[in-house]
Amino acid sequence: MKKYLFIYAVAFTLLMIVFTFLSIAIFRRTEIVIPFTRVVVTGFIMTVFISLSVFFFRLEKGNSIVNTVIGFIILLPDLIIMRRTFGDWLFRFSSTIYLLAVLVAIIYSAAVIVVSRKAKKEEANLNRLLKQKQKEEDEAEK
Amino acid sequence: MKIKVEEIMNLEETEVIVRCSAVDEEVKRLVSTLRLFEEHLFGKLNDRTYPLHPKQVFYFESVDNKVFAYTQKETYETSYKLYELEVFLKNTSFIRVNKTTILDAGKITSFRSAINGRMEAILKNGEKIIISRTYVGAIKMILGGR
Repeated sequence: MKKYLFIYAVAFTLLMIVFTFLSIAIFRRTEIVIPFTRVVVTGFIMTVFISLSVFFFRLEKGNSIVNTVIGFIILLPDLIIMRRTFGDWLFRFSSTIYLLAVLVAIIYSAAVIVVSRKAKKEEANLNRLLKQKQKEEDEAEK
Repeated sequence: MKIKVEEIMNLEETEVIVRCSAVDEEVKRLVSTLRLFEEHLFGKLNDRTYPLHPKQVFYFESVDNKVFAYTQKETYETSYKLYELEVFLKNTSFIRVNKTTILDAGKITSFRSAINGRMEAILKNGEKIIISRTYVGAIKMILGGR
């Protein structure tokens, strides 16, 4: 729970920064003020899904590929929630939601690639150290 | 490290003398590993208690508040707590790898990572143990890395 709350706090902070800039941009272009409460509540709900997604992605139990796929699927309801808040201004064209889904998929894939590469590097490093230690032990035995 | 074995005919007990310039972490680990040869744990299997040498054990795992010792083929139930074993096996090749497992680093054959960054250790008996991200650094240290 502590782990989940930490992810939640970080995700909420980042999301609110993005929403602040988004609201400012909408206001400057259309002079429409989006209610603060609505933005914050949207932030709260969206963060639940984002942190759940991160939680599943980082889960150490179960199949890692299944966890990664679940992590992505959990992110998708966020688009519908976002549409409810910024719908009239941000989603003027129906295609926007699909474009946003593609964007989310790209960002998620990039995150998966980065984490996977980092882990591969770590794996290679650990295997190298293990071989080195075994070699040292073999030499000492001789 | 140089290893020298001397055969002395009239010696009553085997003696190990460690000669070093300073007692550093490596020397401490070496001494603890040597002491481990004297120590025995006890494990229960089919209602019978057996002496269990730590070198036989691949890993200790806590399941439902009970700690089990896994050897090449058998699984023994022990009366120890995981934190007690952690203290007892300090400075040896045994290391905590996740919340519930203490693993003998000497029994690892290779490491494997998953798509989500999860690390697994493959043991000599073919078993796979999940290594928590928190403990990867400690494993590196025990393998001689930084």
